[in-house]
Order: sequence, then structure tokens, then C-alpha cells
Amino acid sequence: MTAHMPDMNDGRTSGRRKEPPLPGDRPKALRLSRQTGMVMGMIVILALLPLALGDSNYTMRLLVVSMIWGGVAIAWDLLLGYAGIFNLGQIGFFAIGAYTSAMLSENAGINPWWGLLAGAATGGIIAVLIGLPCLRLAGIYIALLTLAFYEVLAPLLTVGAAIGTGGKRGISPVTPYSIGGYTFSGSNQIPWYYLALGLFIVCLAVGFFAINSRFGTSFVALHDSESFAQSLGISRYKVSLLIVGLSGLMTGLMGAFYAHYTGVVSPRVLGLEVFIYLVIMVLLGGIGKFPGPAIGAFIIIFVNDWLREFDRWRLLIFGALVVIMVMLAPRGMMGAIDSVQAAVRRRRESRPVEPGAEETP
Amino acid sequence: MREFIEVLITGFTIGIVYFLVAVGFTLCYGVGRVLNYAYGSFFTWGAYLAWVIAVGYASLNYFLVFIVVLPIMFLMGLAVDQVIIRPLRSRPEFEFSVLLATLGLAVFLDNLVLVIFGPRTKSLPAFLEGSVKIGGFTISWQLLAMFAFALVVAVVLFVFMAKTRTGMSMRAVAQDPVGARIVGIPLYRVFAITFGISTLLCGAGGILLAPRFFMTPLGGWTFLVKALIIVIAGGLGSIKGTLYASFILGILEAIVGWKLGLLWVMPFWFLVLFVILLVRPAGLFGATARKG
Repeated sequence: MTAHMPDMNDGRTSGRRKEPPLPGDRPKALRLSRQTGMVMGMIVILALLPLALGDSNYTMRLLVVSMIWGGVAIAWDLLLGYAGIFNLGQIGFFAIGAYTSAMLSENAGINPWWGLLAGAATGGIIAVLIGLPCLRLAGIYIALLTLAFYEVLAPLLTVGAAIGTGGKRGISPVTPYSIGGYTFSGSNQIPWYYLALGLFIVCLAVGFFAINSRFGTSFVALHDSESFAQSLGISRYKVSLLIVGLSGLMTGLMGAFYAHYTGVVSPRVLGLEVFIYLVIMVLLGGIGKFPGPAIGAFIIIFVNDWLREFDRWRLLIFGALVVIMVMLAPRGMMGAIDSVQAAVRRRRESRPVEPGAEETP
Repeated sequence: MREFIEVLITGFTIGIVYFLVAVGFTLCYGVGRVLNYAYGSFFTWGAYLAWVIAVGYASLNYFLVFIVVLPIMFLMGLAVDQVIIRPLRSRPEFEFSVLLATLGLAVFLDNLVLVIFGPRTKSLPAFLEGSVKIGGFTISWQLLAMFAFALVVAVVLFVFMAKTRTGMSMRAVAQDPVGARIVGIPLYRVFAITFGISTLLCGAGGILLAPRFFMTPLGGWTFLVKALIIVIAGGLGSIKGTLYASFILGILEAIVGWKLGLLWVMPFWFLVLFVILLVRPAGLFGATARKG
């Protein structure tokens, strides 16, 4: 019994169905401006929020964590929602970024600021190395191999105590950043917050340009008609590899920041808990609905904090929520907004024309 | 040398149990195109249900454990297929949706175990005590019982696939779903039965391996990954490939565990997987993993 993947509709999976464009579908330029508006709005709100919050360190901390995961969620969504690459090893890139930066600053005494660059670089390089063999395979094999990579990384980091990963306990404490004699500390979240915001903006910008540039358009072309796109000289392998590298870079960057922000890295980052949180952030925000996944990250971090007292039940709830979301709202919040808008528009289109309105002589 | 052969025997036994676990996974994909990421959780559930019956609440005989737990696992599989997988089949991105849904299900099931049984590790006692000497080798009864039971299940599975109508329709669907539907095979029923059988096999593996490893609510993930590696190495959807890969990796596990310690097992498995994929990108007996 061997696996084969017939392209025709065989009842196991129905073929790719494309929705016909709605009569009142907005032109692309306008759609783009909604995206721009949301990104700009997020940046402005986040930049001004500390003024409104005063010195609530706790809320600030939640916001910093949200921005870290928001960046990762955007990076992951580039692969899942735009490039159609079922990568399940995203947290692996995050851990690699975190470990690189922490190991450089703790074992080699290198300034943590360089760790940001180094973490991003290793994240990107490892992602490309994983991508090189994986991207030649069919989608489902990518999901299998990247999950295996993710699952094996924690044992490897535990075994790797010899090269300075700190084994099971990880590395702690990790030196915080310092600038011109001022050292960042937990008691004042403002510097952390604005640094995180800067990195988050980097992720938003990379995501935005990756989606709206020629580069992002090539994925749309490949999705619509692979052979035609290829005849125009678009190589799926090359663009996929590029976007995997880019995604790994963003994730590694956030990982590096995370290591110094929390002051500890251990194989626990690779825990299932973190993974499922990331999944639900992206699902809730909407896969392929930039910048939805980032908004999903903010919501999940705050809801999770709010559900703190349910402790043991939290993951149970989130697990069930993932199943329900996949079944009922596969495109998340942003997808729901889209379909409501589409329904409203359809209604408007089908409204009977008032008599005499059009037949004026 | 004698020790080495004993290790080989252990590896062979682990191999056949891994085969049971992995073949359920590959069957599910080969027939129904379902990659079940909740597979590890079914493993955990099998082990915990066995614990409930044999240790926790009713100290029943081991034999009864199988008779009670396996049908429960089968019904669980049917229910998951009907409630979660079937409604997703009309989706354009069916495989990806199933992947995410089963991932959520896995977290749900694992944490249900955690809420019910608590985070402390549990262990099942061995089925049988003592050991036997065969031709100078010492083999524990436990290992022999494990081997015998796994062998029985594997043989029953092969006969089922080869001789019964249901088994034949499963193979037909795996080969050509359109053709199978034309000759009147009820596709959705076959999908459901396949899913049930796959969770049953996984539960059987859980019961058999529970006395060997400690049980924790998140312990199933290791076995999901092991099943994944075996299945990729053997070729996704191929039963023959799964058989060979299980034995190769089972024996490797025994040798590595004996020489270097269990922590090194996964890195070595990865190395072997990597080498196999370099030579044959679709696994040992896979048709094709490359895209069109």
C-alpha cells in the first residue's frame, strides 16, 4: 500500500475550490489600505499606550510579551498563510535565536546588543538549512519533518551541555541590555517596552513588504496557477527558501530579545504549552490575514493572564478552542470580519433598484 | 557477546511494538489522508486506561485490560473521526485543517489526563515476573509476553487486511478512492473504521510499553515523534516500509540505550532518518514524496 496523491477530487479531500469574486469586491488598492491602516493604528496605539498606563509595570510586561509573540506570529503566518509551507518548527527557530544570544553573552562575554543580530542570523540560517531538504518535498512531509525537528531540539539542547547550552536547566541569568551606562532592569519596563516595540515594528514592516511586494505577489501567482507562474520565471523553491529564511530571521530576532528580557533560557521554551499558544494566536487572528495573527497574540496573552486562576484548565480550554476554531472559523477573527463585510455588500448589491431611479430620461 | 544478543532481542521486541503504533499512524494517512497529531494522546489514554483498570480503581487481571481498553480506544477513534475529521473533509485545505484540529485535540486530551489524574508519573507493574533461560540467554517473561502479544496483534492485523471484506475495502480505498467508490465501497464508513483501528493499535502500544516507560500526561508526544520518524523512514502510507523501519529503529534504540544511555536515542534516530532520506527522499518504500 503506497501513498499517492491524486490531483482529482477523490472524496478524501475536495479539490481546491476558488470562490468566485463578489460583484462588489473592493479593488486591491483599497484592501491594501485597510492593512496599512491597521498596521499604522497598531504602531501609534502601542507607541502612546505607556502614557495612558502610567507606571503599571504588570500591564507593560504583558504588552512586551505580546509584542514578542506578535512578531513570531507574523513570521509564522508568512509561511502558513502566504507561502503555504506547513512549518511546525517555528518555535525551534525562536529557541535557537534565544540560545545563540544567551550563549554569546554568557559564555563568550559578547555585548547582548550583538546577540540580537547573531540570534536573527542563526535563526535565519538554521531555517534555510532545514528548508533546503524540506522544501523539495510535498507539503505534508514538511509538516512531519519540521515537527520532528521541533521535538528533537529539546533533547539535543539537554545533551548539548558540553557546548554550553546548560543542559536541562538552561542558561540563567542572562545579562540584560545596557546603553550608555544605563542597564535595563525589571523594575522599569519603559526601555524594554520601546525596544520591543522597535523589534515588533521591524517584524510588521518585514511582513508588510514581504506580502505586498513583487515577492509576495509571486506566491499569489503560484497559488493561482503554478505552471503559468513558473513559465514567467518564478521558481517556487527559490521564493519559498527566501521566505523561510526571512521568517527564521524574524523569529530568531524575537528569540534573542526574549532571552535577555526574561533573563533565562531553558528547553522549556520548546514546551508544548508555548507551541499551542502560538497556534491559537495565529488561528484566532486569522491565517493569511496579516496583521491578524499579531492582534491574536495580544488577545491571547491578555486572555491567558485573565484565566490565570483556572491554571490547570487553561490549556484544556485552549486545546478545545483550537479544535472549535478550525471547525467553525478557520480564518479567525479577520476572516469573520471579511465574511460579514462580504455579506453586507452582497445584500446591498441584491437590493432592488428603486423604480425610476435609473430610468430618468 | 551474550549481552549483545540479549540487547538485540530486546530491540526486536521494542521494534514490533513500535510497528503496531506506527502502522496505525500510516494506515490513517494511507487510507484517509489524515495525519493524526493527536496520536500520541491516544497512546497516553491507552496507558492511563490500563492503569485505571489494573492498578488505580479496579485491580483486574491484565488479560481483561486488553479486552476492556481496546474496544474503548476503537470507539474513541470512531467518535473523533465522526465529530472532528468528517466535517473537515469538504475543506479545500483538508490536510492542513486536520493537522491543526488534531493538534488542538492532542492538547485537550493530554490536559484532560492532567486534570483527572494529576501531574505525577504513574507506572504499570510488569505483566509477568521472573525470567526464563533459553539456550543460555536470560529473557524476562515480561519481554516474552510483550513480544507474543504484539506478534498476535500484528498477525491479526495482516490477516484482517488480507482476508476480510473491510480490510480489502481499506486497501482499495488506499489505492484508488474514486475506483473504490464506483464499486460501491462506502468511503466514509471505511475512513471511520480505519481511524478506529488506528487508535486501537496506538492504545495497544500504550498498554504494552507503559510498564517499560513511566507514564506522564505529556508522555505521548515522544511516541508521536517516534511514530513520525518510523513512518517517514519507511515511506508514508507503506505498511512494509513501516515494518522494516520499526525493526531497524527498535534495534538501534536498544543498542544506543545500552551503550550510551536513553537520552541519545532520539539524536541517533534522527541521524538514521537523515541518512535514509538522503538516499531515498520518500523513505524506504515510499512512492514519492517529491511534489509533482
